Amino acid sequence: MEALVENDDPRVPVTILTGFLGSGKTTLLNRILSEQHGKRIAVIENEFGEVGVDQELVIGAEEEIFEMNNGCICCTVRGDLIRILGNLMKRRDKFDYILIETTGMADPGPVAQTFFVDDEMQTKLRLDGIVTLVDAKHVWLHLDTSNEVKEQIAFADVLVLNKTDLVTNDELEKLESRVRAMNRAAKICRSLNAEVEIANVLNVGGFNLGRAMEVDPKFMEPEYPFEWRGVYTLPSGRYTYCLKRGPDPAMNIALLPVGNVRTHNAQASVMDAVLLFSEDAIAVSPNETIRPGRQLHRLALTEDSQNFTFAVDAPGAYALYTQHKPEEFQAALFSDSSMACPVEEKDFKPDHEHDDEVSSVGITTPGDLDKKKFNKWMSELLRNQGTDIFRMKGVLSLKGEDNRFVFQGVHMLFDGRPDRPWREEERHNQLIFIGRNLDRARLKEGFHSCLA
Amino acid sequence: MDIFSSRSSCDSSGCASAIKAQVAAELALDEDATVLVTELACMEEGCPPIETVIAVFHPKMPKLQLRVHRPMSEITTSDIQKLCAQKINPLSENDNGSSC
Repeated sequence: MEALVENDDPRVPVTILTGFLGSGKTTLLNRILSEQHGKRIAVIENEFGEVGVDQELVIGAEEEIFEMNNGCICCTVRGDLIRILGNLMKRRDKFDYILIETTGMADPGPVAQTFFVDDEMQTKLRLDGIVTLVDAKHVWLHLDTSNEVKEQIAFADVLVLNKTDLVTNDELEKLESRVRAMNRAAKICRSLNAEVEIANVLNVGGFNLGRAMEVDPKFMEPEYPFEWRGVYTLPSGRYTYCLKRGPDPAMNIALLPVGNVRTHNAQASVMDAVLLFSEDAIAVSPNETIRPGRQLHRLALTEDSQNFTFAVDAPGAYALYTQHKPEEFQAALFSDSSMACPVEEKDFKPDHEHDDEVSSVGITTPGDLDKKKFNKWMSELLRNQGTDIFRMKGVLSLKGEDNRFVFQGVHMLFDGRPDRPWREEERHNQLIFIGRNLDRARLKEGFHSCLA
Repeated sequence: MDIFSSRSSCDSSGCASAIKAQVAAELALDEDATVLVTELACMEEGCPPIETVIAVFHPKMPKLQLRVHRPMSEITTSDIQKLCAQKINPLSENDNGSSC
């Protein structure tokens, strides 16, 4: 049994356990309570008495939704929890951790928002995470039709795909891919009889601002303005870049030096290339010469076949970034009459196609934000779409500020603070939205309009 | 709404505690009551940017909500007195807590 991770935060951690009826919440709850982790856990149960929980501090709760809306902010909290937590804190010496088990039909939003609305409560309690149990077999009966199931998956910091013995490996993969598309920020684990490592469900730091962007790095990759990169190791000389007519009458390219022939690091040039592709391109006519360096070139492709010349003055490794994939233009690089082959290739084609009503949108953009513009955009976004944005997290680079700014939100409630200083890494912004009917293109466009 | 400013005008929660204590005293609440105080942003034109919402939860009482169109740190003891008096006797004063 792995011991619960301790930290310096004196506040009592709280974990919310959600999951549709029969997903295994109570089994997991009993498992947590029976493990020898040395913690005294107070349990707030919505389905009081469903399965006996052998624990001294078990409090029954009756869902009581309380709206604090003011016409602008939709803030719905759980009145029953406020009362129970208030009373529980008077017995603070009796427990070290609080677990809240919701009903199978509960919306996790009001439960989570309860921990954001009162400063005093925030000084005593720390919402650690939302753990959602998913019945790997029967969830399919509700995944398309039940808002509760979708919201429970979308709100989760940890998704436990339970009852894996009832499905094949292929079915499990399919489910994982589906829930991953809905919530890219959650950690996913699989279990039989809710047997999960306690460290995977307690003290996960899901609402810890310092860990706001601990999500799948692949998901947080930007949608690149280029589709392909090839790294060539080239002796000095002249090369011919041949292209045939393709789907676009022009193609933007950049040729960047990335080291010497033996040791090169093309990955380090990605952000440079992203910035370069946002700048104005120089139009290049056929047979004109292109030299490696920080310049975007626009190749006009009006004829069936056209050649451009690369002049390489020093031997080394060069990364060729192209707006489209080479095969679309049958593009190839030649030295004299022989073809120069890339020593490394990478596709950057974005792959975010899915049609779920609930989804995640990640945005990564280099550069600094204008605070005023960002505030205005975010205010409007939350006013118009706050009820559909379940959770969001982000790390921002603000113009004129030396420190990163980290934030997170649940619906329209927001929590943010300056974080550590920017170090050697390039200043950039990362955001993730999880919600219903998110318009990826509009979110990206809106966010980009906030750049300084 | 300013996401870059502190989440509440009462960072140390000192004034929130004072508001809660005064509300509990004015309404003669017993120890089963829980008082919640929060600031909500308002983005409508003509509406003050921050509104303070005070909610009282008690197992034997209907939920009670009081609103002041000012940040917590600017709420005075006389504001609380008036609001609570209104709730005890709704015809006694103007409705200071109307929404915008």
